Amino acid sequence: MNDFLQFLQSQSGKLLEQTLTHIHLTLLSVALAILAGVPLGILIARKQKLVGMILGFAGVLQTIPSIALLGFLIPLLGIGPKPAIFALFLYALLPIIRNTYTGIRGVDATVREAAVAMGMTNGQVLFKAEMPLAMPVILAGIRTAAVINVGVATLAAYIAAGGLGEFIFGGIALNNTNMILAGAIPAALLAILFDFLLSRAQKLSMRHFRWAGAAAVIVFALSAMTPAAKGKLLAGFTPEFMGREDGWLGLKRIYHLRIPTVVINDAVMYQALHEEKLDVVSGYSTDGRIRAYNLVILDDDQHIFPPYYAAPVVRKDALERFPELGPALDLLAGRINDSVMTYLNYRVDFLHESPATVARDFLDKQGLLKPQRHGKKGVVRMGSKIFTEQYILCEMYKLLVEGNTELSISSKTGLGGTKICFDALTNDQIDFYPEYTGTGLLVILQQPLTENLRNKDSAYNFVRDRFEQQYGLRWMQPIGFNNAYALMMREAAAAQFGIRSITGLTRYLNTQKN
Amino acid sequence: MIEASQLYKAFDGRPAVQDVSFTVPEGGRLMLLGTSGSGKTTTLRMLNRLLDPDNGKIFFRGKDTRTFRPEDLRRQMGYVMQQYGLFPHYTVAENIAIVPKLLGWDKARIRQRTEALLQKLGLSWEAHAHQYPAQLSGGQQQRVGLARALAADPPVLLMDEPFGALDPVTRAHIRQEFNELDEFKNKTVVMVTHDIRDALELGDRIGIMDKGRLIQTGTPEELQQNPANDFVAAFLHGKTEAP
Repeated sequence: MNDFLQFLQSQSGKLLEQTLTHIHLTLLSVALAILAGVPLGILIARKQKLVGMILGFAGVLQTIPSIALLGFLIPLLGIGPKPAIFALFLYALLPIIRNTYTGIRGVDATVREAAVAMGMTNGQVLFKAEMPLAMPVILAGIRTAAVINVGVATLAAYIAAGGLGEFIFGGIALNNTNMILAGAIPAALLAILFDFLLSRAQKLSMRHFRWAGAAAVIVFALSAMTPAAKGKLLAGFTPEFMGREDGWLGLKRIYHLRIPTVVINDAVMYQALHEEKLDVVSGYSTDGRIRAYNLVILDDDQHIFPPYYAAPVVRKDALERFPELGPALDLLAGRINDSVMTYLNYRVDFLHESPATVARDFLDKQGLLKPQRHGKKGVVRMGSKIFTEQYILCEMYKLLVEGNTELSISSKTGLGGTKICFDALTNDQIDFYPEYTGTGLLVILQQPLTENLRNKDSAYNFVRDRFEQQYGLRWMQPIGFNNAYALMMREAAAAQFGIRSITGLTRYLNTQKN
Repeated sequence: MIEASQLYKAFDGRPAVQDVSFTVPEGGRLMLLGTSGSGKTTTLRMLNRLLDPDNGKIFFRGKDTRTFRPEDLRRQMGYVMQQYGLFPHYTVAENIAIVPKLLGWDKARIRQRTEALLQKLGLSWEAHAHQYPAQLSGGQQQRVGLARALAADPPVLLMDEPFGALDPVTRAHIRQEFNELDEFKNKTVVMVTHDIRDALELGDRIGIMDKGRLIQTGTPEELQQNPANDFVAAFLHGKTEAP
């Protein structure tokens, strides 16, 4: 508890800024949705033929996963508040349109007839009779939309629009509970506050609305005053990267890198770089998108990113029971470098070939592909994490083991993450899976990063020895590639500014300031 | 004042009103009397263009009603409904002020008029003006409904079963009040009812409707002495009870 309060105190400036941004995103998107949704609701209450089409369309919008929607919007609106507000606006439309329609249709027919019969024009019937009587239902729709949007607005942190999502996603990525709570508690309080204020508004009569309206405008104006920094080059980093010593903190401390940053989700980060909405991003060095988008990795000349060399981690009892397993797995040792792995990932992610095809092709070209023996000697259980690279590696190991030994492989691919894979291994649910030295070091052994461990070989030796002693697990020979954190830029931009390394980036930025 | 000529109106191909013609002179009071579904309400709703006839014409002060802007026409014809149709979100005073406001009266004039009407209808400014319709009894609501129809002193009053939702005692009482109201006396009235006592007490002429047609029109005496057919006779003599 004390911890949490201390965290809040140390981050109070950032917390206030994020909260205001959050309010701003929510209110602006709901205000836009009211401006569009209420007239649409009125329209379909008048023209019943359009009901199915418009409510259907708004309903479909609601079902688009938010991260996908944000991805679609980057080419159109870039990154930052604009696409975030637009996406939130789309999510808020359905409840507002539907409740406006329901509210107006629900007005007593005799009241409507009386209004017409007294000589009111269409507009007067709408504004003097239908709208005031439908208002509680319309407000209920706005209330739903506002509460939904407080929640969805956390996703704005995915595309550099800020808000409380920065704390929440950063906290999740860094396993920092205080950080999660510092985002989640204010977000929950905001939802409760909006719900309460709008529930009060529902009880007010029409004549009080101008006051409620004025209050809303003032809150909105206040929340709109959040600053937006803009530099010559802009960096987009994942929430996790922002909080890591082998990330943004190290870049600042070791390289003295000074660059405006925004927080963004890795699913849209590469695309934003490609669309020239960002100039520098934090990525993974063998990601297929590096090739797809013509990106270049900046050389980590001061070695702040620990090595993430991949190798199979195997249970010792399996190696003893099947002595031929180890040599079969080591057939891949040193065979794949960074650019080859990037290319293989690219073939699966962008050329949409299956991991099995890509694995078979590669082994064939390396002269490692042998006919399957369909052996009956025993079954080896193989695990993998859920991303492309691991799927490809597992297909290769399956072919190698089944082609070179009398063993067969049973795949348990798609184990959520490091912790799930590792627990499956130590609990004798699988016999091996591909792991990375950096992950072994930082996540499993929780070893603080010393200078010595930034070296590729000493890191490998360290995890190999410790795994052996602590868990009775064997690290096989490294496959060769290093899927580490990396800073990357568009190839054309890097060439234009003459930037090859992170030091070069720092130097370039410093010359720009003068 | 009002002349209807050969009105025809069908809903979904089924005729609701056929070949209905009548004339109401200035100050005349025509009672359209008939059973449910006889077409009398449809006929009434065509007079202020809540509905437009498929065939036939309606003249107001000698001019085809289709040459009026519907809103202008309606503001000259007070409208009283069976279910009152009061705005639930308006106070009694605001409900009564609707048409005068549409016509652009100033506040003082509206206030004066509202207060006078309330008093004439047995309500008071102090006790009722700021109440909402839901706080009033049925009889009080119908009085407010009538006050609202009369507020801008329109030359014509259209009434659709104005006492239909009231219990028999209140009904007789309010009917008598209306009849004695001088506001009511100089109006041209077309009223729809299925109750012969409404018609006999308030009307100077009665039109009997059945199956969409106007069967006979005349003074109460004419109808009673010379009913056009058995239906008229039965309606006037046999069916004097409210259903």
